[in-house]
Amino acid sequence: MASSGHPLADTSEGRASFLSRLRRAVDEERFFGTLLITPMQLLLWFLLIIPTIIVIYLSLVAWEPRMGVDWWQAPFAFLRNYAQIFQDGRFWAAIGRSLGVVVAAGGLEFAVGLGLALLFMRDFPGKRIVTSVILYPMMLPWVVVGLAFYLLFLDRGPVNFVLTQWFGSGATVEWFKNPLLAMGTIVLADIWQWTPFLFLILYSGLGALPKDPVEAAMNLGANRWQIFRHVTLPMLKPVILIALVIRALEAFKIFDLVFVMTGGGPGTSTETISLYIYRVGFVFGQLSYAAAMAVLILVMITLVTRFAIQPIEEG
Amino acid sequence: MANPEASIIRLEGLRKEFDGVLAVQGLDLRVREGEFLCFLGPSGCGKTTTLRMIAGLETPTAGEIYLREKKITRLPPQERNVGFMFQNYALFWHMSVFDNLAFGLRVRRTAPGQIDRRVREVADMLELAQVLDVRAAKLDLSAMQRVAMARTLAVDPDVLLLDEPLNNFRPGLRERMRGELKRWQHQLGRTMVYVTHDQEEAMTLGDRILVMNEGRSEQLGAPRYIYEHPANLFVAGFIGRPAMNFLEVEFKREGEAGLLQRDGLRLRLPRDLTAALESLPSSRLVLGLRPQHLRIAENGTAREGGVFRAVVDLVLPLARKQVVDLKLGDELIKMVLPADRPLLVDDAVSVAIDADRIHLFDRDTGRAIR
Repeated sequence: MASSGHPLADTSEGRASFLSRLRRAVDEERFFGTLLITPMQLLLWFLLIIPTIIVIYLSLVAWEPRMGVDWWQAPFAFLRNYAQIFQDGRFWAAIGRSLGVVVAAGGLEFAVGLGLALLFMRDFPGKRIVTSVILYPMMLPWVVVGLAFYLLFLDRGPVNFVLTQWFGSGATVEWFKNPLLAMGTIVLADIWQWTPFLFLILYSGLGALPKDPVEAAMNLGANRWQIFRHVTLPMLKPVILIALVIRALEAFKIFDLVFVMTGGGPGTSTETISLYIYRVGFVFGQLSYAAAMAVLILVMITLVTRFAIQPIEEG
Repeated sequence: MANPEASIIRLEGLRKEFDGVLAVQGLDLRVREGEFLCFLGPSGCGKTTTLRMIAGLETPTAGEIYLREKKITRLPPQERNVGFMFQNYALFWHMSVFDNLAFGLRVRRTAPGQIDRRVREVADMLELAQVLDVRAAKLDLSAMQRVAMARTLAVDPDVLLLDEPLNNFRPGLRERMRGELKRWQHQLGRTMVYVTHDQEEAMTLGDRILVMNEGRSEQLGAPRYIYEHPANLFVAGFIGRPAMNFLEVEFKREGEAGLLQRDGLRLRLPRDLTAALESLPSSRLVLGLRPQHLRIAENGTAREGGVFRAVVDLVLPLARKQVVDLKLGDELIKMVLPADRPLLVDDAVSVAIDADRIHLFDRDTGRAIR
């Protein structure tokens, strides 16, 4: 085509081009999407990424507040802090305890939560009220739960009172003086508080499952247990995995309940990893070493989570 | 099958209410051994609910269900041996095709060797042998359908119930699968009850059709018979495409002959029909005219029947025929003509009605008189 055209047409096109280009840019989904998530991105940077970078930096220097210099002036220690972790028996013992909480509390919470969720699939009178009562512990602050269980299991507290009423005056248990029992009370408090969470996720997951595969299984002659085992449970698997991963992450980092109920005692027998890191950093004042442990934990958790979520992503 | 009159399923006054809403209201039915019976009706007419009650997936509010004259009304679905194929196949999506097919046998604790043999047998029959190791969720629609069928067949049910199994198919494939179904039924010689809202499907597949509406049976019979002798206005309007034309008419006597009359239309009736109409209490009737039975009147009128003048309102050409909308007063009348008869909008035409091809209904009850 020759460049003849109408002169007026040319000018109008030129004038429109800036506006239309702007509009096209706004219309374009990617631009608009970026605009929308920018505030969240900024928040994320300030709350998450910058602090993480600082912690990583701290873990690579040798700095304690009592040295009298600011942390950014501290001398580099490179990987010496990390090397120290591997000789720190108290660190690994604390990791072991945290894992113990994950297995014991997480496992029981899952079992009870799933049982409750299955019970609640059927209608019964007062179901809505019971549901909100069940969810109530989840709404309490950790510290309140910790305090309540601490008071319950005190040497002269209600639990021991009930025991003496039943089994005679000698039947008191010193809950917080026995390492295993102390851990038990912590796990119990965690179960009390977090079973509702698993119940909620599993209950809504069960409710969202399609009904017809279950009906098909009935039609093919399967009994209730066979249907649950071979149809319902496999269909629920993605939900179960997500729930377990979320709960395991939280349980591994357990701090508040331990801090309030036992303070890690007796001795260090209930000291979990979060409590230990807190102590190293803020009680013993070895912030660089605490930072190194925190970074190592972060790496470990990230790896385990990736691994655990893989089956879901593969569909 | 041995005795065509023997009923394999019998429904007796079957009723179902959902929270006060009547889904099925008093259904009586005998399903014959070996037949292909279609439940046909608009959505919400209770056809699927009826099917689910036969399978035990819904409990009837009242009435009884018999399988080979054994009462199964309260039996759990596990103990009925009635195969059910779901609309969305309801496969066990997380399992392989093999495990899907083996499921029913495994829960019955069949010996592994026997399971293997039976699964391969049905897989061969439905051309699934190549995909036995594939996960069900990864199959294409037609294979899903065959897995659903094979899974049901593997446990050798007395009856197969199918709930709109072709709904998810696009039109071309849908017709092919329809053919497949018909072939399977011949091959298997099994009683099938088939729910559909698609009349064409019901007409091609069914040995008999049960037309349902608002939870009630409207008519039961062979497809051709229902088409030619609809029992009432609902069936007449529901079966046949384009739908039957309905015109309100008055019956009058004029000398020897009986007449059907309305503005712009006079229809002379044969003697026997006149006599039949005279014995009726009401002269208020509905005249039913199949679009296929109308023709353009050439010279001269027939002795019986009638001719009306109408204006062409719309022409919808199809490959070998055309559907023409005609205006007769305020009414639109559809007519099917061969494509080689050129017609233009606003043409005035004379349309002939043959008296022996009309349908007549009582305007008050809706029942067919003829």
